[in-house]
Amino acid sequence: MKFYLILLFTLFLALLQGAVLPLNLVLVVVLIWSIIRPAGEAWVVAFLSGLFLDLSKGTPLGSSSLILLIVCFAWRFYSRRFDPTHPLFLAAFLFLVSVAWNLLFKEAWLVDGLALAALSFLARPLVKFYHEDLSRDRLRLKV
Amino acid sequence: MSPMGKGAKKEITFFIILLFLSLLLLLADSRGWLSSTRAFLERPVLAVEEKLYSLRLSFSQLNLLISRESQEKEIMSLQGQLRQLAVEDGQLATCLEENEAMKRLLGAPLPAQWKFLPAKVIGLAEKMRLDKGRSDGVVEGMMVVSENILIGKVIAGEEKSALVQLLTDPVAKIPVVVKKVGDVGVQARGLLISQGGKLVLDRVLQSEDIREGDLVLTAGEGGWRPDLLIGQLGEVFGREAAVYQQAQILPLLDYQQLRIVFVVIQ
Repeated sequence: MKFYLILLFTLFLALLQGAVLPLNLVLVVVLIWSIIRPAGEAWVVAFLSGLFLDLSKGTPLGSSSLILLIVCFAWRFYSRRFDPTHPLFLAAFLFLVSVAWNLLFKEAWLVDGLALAALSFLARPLVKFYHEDLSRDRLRLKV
Repeated sequence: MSPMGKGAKKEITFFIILLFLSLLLLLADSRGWLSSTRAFLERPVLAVEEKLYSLRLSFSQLNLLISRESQEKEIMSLQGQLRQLAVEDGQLATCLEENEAMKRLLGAPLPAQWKFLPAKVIGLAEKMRLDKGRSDGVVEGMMVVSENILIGKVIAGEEKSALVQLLTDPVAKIPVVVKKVGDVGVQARGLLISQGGKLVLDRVLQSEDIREGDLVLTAGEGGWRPDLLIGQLGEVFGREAAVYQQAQILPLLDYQQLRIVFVVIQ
């Protein structure tokens, strides 16, 4: 998927979140993107998606970017130790981040966290497919 | 330093730059330095959000409309059920009333060979109208009673209704007997007539002893069945110069209160 397409997608999700959607789907997309794409690209997506989210939700500009960047960094760091495509790893990570995020912004945390975890669990085949594709590319580059 | 290490360092540097940029934005926004920029950026965002929100509202209104329609349907169906229940309740009340009247009739001292047909009173003026007619076996001349108290006689039978001549009818002249309460023998004989809507015992000989409280029953003559209770004697008007004495008869029934009566069909 093209870089600007994912930004358009996160912009759309941020608008939805600002208007009607209670779930933090931007977080899910950014985390999944940071598994399947190189780090530099993941940072930019996290930063800009955070800005979209702040604009749509009316939170201080840069606050969501800061959180998303830190979450992505932590996620990439742990992805080196654990298998990021493991069915429970992404779900558990998302749940914890969602809970922390919602507590920070004083939103309903538990239901959202569980819903996001379930969603990421369902999205696992897609993540695995793209992750393996990326690994093959890297291997080819190395050879 | 390996190429991978260089790459990682580059990545971390880039990450730190973005992190600082975020912090800078946060600081600037919280101080209000970016208010005009933010307002400019927020304008299209808010416009889209407004559209999305109104879209959601219209969806929820649509849902509300759908649920309202189903609620209205449910209300209509419940109202239908309520009407049905009211009808059944009315039928049940009529059945209970009929049952009570039947019980009273069973307790009444009437000949065992008599057969009764319960009928509903559907009209009451000078004459009484019943909901049973020729198709139910009701014909002219049949007595109409409530327990063992005489109400009148069927004078006209339609297919599905019958007209009853009441005792208060000025035309009605019924041969009666007077009995003392608790006695078996006949105390006096006379004729029941109606004067101004009131029952009067007439043609009682001066020699016969009648008193207030005595019972008046049919004598069983003139097409009227015997021993049907009519009422109790009220004031007795005994004039020595007259041949007959008269007395007021107090009816034992209020016709206005009657809903179920019995036609003696056999």
